[in-house]
Amino acid sequence: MDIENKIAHRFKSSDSNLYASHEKVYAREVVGPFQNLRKTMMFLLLGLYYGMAWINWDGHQAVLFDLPARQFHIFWLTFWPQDFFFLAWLLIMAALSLFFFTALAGRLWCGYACPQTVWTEAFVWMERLIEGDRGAQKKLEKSPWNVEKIRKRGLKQLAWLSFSLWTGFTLVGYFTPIRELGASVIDTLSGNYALGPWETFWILFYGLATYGNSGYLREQVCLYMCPYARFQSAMFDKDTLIISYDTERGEPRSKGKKRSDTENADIKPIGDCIDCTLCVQVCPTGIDIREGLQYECIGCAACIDACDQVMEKVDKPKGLIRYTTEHSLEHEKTKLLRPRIIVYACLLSALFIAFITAIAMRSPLAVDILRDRGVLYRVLDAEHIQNVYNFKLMNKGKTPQTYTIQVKDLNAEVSFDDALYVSPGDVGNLPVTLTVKASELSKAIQSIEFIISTEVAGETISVSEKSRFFSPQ
Amino acid sequence: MFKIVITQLEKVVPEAELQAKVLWRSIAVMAWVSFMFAGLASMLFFATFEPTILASLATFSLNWSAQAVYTIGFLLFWLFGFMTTVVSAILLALPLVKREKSLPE
Repeated sequence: MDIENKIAHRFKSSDSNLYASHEKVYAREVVGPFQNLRKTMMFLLLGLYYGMAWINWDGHQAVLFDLPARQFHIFWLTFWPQDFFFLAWLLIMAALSLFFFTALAGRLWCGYACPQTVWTEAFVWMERLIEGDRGAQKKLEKSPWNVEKIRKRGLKQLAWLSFSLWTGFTLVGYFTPIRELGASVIDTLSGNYALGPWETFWILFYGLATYGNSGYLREQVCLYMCPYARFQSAMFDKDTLIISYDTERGEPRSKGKKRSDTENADIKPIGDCIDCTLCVQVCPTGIDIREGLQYECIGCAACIDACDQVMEKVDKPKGLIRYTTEHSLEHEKTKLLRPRIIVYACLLSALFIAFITAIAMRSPLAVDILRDRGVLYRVLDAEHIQNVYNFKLMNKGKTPQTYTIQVKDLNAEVSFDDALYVSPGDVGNLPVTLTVKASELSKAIQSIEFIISTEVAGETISVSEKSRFFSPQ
Repeated sequence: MFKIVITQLEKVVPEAELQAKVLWRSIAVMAWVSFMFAGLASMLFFATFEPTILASLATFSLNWSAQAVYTIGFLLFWLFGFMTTVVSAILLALPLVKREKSLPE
């Protein structure tokens, strides 16, 4: 075999399933407690996404990431770029929560909360509404292009596209006030191009991404694109909650005549699985859960609901497919509190408490004091020494503020040229001069503390900042 | 650049149909990975630097709005990330002569 054939052979044999033609998964609809929970989550999360943008709070949009003004409004809180640290903190907490919940309960995120799952669910729902159930969809796929097919497919595309564009519009509405954005969209639709070019771009871009990911790619996003699906095995252990088929109870599976024959003859034990393949038909990623834990499983629990119904019909106990752990399947005790769970939980609660405390105690004033770089000190006359500082005052509040500056530990005269007035969101730069009587100074470098205070809504807020006073002593 | 990838692919995978699949899958993975990190990079970068000031300090006169700087910045991060992954992919795919030696009989 020459090299080219050899490599071609390798592609065909080992990787062939990776490059096999993708076949659309027509998942059968299933009802049951877990699917009800998933539907509730879907309505909740989609409702939150589409609704939150329209809620107003205190005269502004409740959640608005105003990038041009560089302010993030989240209800009563306003975040400035200087608060970036909170965002980083939040991301660390999000990552840690993912570790924690994955170790504890497997792919809860994938099955119930991941946007990919939630939007796919919405798209599948629309498809089902227009094209009918699994059988009808397959039939429509095979049927020639007649009026019925054009009508149904056209309607589906219309529904998908409008939903996607609405999604894109809502996303941009979190960055540009959504009411103004809506007005400019209406203007644009009536022929007067009022929408900004970048807003147009992002609405179309995000809309298209939603359309492609939820309409066509679906489970392939989880199988081929999602990094979390690949590295989650590192977070799993034998006590992690997984969805699994009870092989011991189910096998050997059999169905139909063979099954009734065996049951009647009573020769050898038969498993509870009647091989109805419903668990395969309902699976949105098209796998067979009976083959064991697979990385394709997104933990949607559709197979649990499907199997429980069948077990009920055939008078067998539920839970042939169920939420369980590897230890439990091996008849060992499942340990809930493992070292990693305890460590994650402690870290997470510490970070969370600190985060809330830091946000609650966030000062609407940030101060930076730089000493004048040119001169260490100025000798005014025989009695007075002067030092110059540069103040940077950032007003993180919502109202314009005037500030007062005092010095602790030193009897000094504070003077500055301009009024200490800073508009909301601005940084005021101000040279401040301290004049001190030489007799007051005991050493060449004296530590001092500035107290900067202001009044916000009748409450005095002060920030102290350390610096040094130099003299020729 | 894609020409190189395609010529390499033609040697490795004989069937045209499979070639297209391998190519598209590789492009999709590269575009997706660079997209994720472009998002992260933009967030970190623009949280640190004010876009309109950056535009006004540019060597060429850029009269761009904040939205323009954010969007173009993100797209540039994406483009460069994509180019990085493309070149990495080309270099990671060993030349055919080396491949022959590494293959089992």
